[in-house]
Amino acid sequence: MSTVYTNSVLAPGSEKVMLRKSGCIMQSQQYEYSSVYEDLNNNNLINMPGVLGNGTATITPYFADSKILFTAMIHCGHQTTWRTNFFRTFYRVTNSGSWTQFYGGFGSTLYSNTNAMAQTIKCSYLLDPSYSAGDLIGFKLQHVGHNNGGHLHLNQNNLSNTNANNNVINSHSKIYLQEVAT
Amino acid sequence: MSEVVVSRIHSQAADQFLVGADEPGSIVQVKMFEYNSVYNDSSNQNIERDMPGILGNGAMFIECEAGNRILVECNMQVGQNDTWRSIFFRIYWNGGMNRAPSGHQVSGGNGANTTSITNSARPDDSLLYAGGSGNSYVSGYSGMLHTANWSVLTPPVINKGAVNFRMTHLGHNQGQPLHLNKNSVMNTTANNNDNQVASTVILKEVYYP
Repeated sequence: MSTVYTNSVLAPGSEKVMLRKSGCIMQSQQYEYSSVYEDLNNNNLINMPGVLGNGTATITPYFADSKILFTAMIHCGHQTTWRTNFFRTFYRVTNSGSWTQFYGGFGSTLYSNTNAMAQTIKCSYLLDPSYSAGDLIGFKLQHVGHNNGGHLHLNQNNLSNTNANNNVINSHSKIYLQEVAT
Repeated sequence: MSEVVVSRIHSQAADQFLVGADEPGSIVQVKMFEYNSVYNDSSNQNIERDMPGILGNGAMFIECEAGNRILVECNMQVGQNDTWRSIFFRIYWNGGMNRAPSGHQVSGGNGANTTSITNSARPDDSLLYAGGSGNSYVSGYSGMLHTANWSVLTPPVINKGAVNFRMTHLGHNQGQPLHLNKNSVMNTTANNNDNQVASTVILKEVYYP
């Protein structure tokens, strides 16, 4: 394999920076969940289903001092009359580490007297975790609903006024991780 | 510092294009600015007000090469008290031209002068570029929050150096108070941030030839 060692790659002529070690996006990882999932309890703190909440959404940074640009995109379904869903964000270093909450949380509020509405919520946060070279960093989402209207209808959507567990538009809720070199 | 001057880079094994001097799009750097305290402002009824802290004081910046563009991603956490809230946000930047005298925003394109909005005073070189909005509505309950996320790619930066950004907010005439980062799973108007949300602006410098 051919390797070039440099801190910056410049364009000829203008000598503008095209790439440099500090600030470069080194890699991207995406984890998604496309099934319909419901939690019909208010004020119930749970791990999100599948890869969104079981700790298997991971990234192994190339450098030991990189930041992680965390992005979550959640498709919140709805049943009459209103739903308010909160999502909490956590990371851990190595598979056996303890979870640390960070300020990447976000929320969704949707109000309608008709069923089957849905809306997409996206939120990003640039995280600066402490870890060692070669460590794997895992991420997860937790959900808690409002005490008076907090049911979760993940990825549920219909074109008619129904509570059926359909995902007619093929929505995928995701965690998206990018390593940003420093 | 070691530097390489090159027109194109390909991977050796697959001969896949990685980066090129004639191709825009590589990310040169990423920065984030955040505000995670709860902030209420009920004086924004149809009045443009500065966002709190670093979001509104002009200290958000990124050092850029001339000609590059900046991908601006905003994540605003709009809390709510009974019954509804509708908040608009404006983004100003100073990278678009050499001089922009201070004053009020006077663009005809966004309708700012055709309504009764009271615009904020604008410092030198601070141009309105992009905005967004967030709203939350549930009748009779409090504690809700809705996340507003939007992204814009600026025009080319004119001068090399620091490009600064600032944000303002503007409340709807009938549902105006801002409850930034406020959220609770309970039906309460308490100033809680139970779910650790932060309102952030993420700046990415994008290479343009």
